[in-house]
Amino acid sequence: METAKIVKYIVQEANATEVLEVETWIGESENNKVIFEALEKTWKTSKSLKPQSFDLAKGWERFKINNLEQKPKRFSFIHNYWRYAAAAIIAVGILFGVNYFQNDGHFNAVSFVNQSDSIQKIGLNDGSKISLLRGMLIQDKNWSENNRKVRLKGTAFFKVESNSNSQFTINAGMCQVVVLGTKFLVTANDSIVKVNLMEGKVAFKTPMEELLIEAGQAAIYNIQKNEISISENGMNDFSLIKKQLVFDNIKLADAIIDIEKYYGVKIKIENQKIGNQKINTKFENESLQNVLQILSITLGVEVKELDGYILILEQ
Amino acid sequence: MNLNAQKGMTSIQTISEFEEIFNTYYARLCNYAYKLLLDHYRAEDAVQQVFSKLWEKRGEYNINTSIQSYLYKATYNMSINEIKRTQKFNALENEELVKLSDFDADVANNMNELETAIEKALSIIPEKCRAIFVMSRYEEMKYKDIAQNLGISIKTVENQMGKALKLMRMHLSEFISVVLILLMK
Repeated sequence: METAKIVKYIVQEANATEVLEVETWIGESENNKVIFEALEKTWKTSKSLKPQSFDLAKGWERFKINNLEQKPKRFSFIHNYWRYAAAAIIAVGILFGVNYFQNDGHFNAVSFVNQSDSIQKIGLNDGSKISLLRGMLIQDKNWSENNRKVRLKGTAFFKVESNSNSQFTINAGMCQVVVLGTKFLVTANDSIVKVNLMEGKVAFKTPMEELLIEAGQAAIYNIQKNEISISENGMNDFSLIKKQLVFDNIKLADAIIDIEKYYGVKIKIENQKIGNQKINTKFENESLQNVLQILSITLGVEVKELDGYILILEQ
Repeated sequence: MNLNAQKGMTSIQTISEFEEIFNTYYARLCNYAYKLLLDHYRAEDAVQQVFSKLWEKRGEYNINTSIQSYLYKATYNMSINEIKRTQKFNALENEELVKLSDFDADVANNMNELETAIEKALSIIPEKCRAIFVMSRYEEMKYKDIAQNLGISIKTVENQMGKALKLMRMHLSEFISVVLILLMK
């Protein structure tokens, strides 16, 4: 008797003819009866596996973050270099069969690449939320509840879900940022690895030394110079996350640096006199056009959009 | 939206309709993926990706494709790809292809010995065969529905079910004897 037919009988898929055929076979010998009973018991025993518990609300929340949330559009003007940089990283990876992220043997297919000018929101299954501003983020191939590791090249804001049993590690260049659960910004490129801490504490491990960073602090590791510097967070270090730019009696020339970073544009000032004018204002989720218009009115300057950059000049 | 298993894909138009489908199938599909992958996180990742693809392509599918069929087939494909990917890396690292330590440690701690043995037995069954067995045993699907969901013949389902239960019997023999003894007491 074919096992498939016996199983069909056990799972109640057999037709009348097959039922008769199997029952006759069972009655034919003690051996047949033993085979049948063992299969039937296996079928019944295998049901003992209780369903796993999956949190629907958390699942939907994660789905929404990754798929439905509106991505705040950032002004796209000339800084498309990240798009090319990401494409180049992938191309080099394909050419050489390895890539930047594979050097520790923990490559994972779960990767996120933000080639756009929008913020890519990522929800991980431990409840952590990441806003990938630019670049690439890759989950460790052995990612699990007890092995929370990611690799970053680019800039991302992390809101790590607290788990006292499992630290969360970000491998960034030659450095590691280790946390239990807090909010912070990490920037990792070929020149620097920078951590801006919003809340809590994080361990910043560099080839030089290991530091404990406190809330409100920023630590920068300069790769070429092998130096670490610690300072207070800048007024606009979290501007893209908070969607605001704050200028508290700041020279226009300095403010321009933050505006350029925020909108991804290049701005030039005609002369030092304009650059020395101070501004005292707060822009909340404003378009670049509005920001430039407000600056133009309050400082009495003219703003021109030229080929590849914006020029601020005297009226 | 009047949701039923045979409802066509083209009926998904709004977020609330999509959320209803998500609410209906999420935990079920996670459990299905879990029994194929035997890993809580990977199961959720696979199902999240299935729903992402469904959301991206909502309304594009033929009305004859039922939501349930699509979701089970997509979860199956996603899980099989994940298994192959893991096997590839494990093979590169010269590890055993499937082993008990792959199980989620916390989940394993909360399971009794029998459940652990069932999971181990499941992990040894070839993927395609395992998918069919899981649909029949835990999703309680009829052979014809399994065949439809996976795009295979009923005859294939019958044969694979025979093979699966035979393998399960071999790997659960110790426990079946215990169950028999307990039943006889």
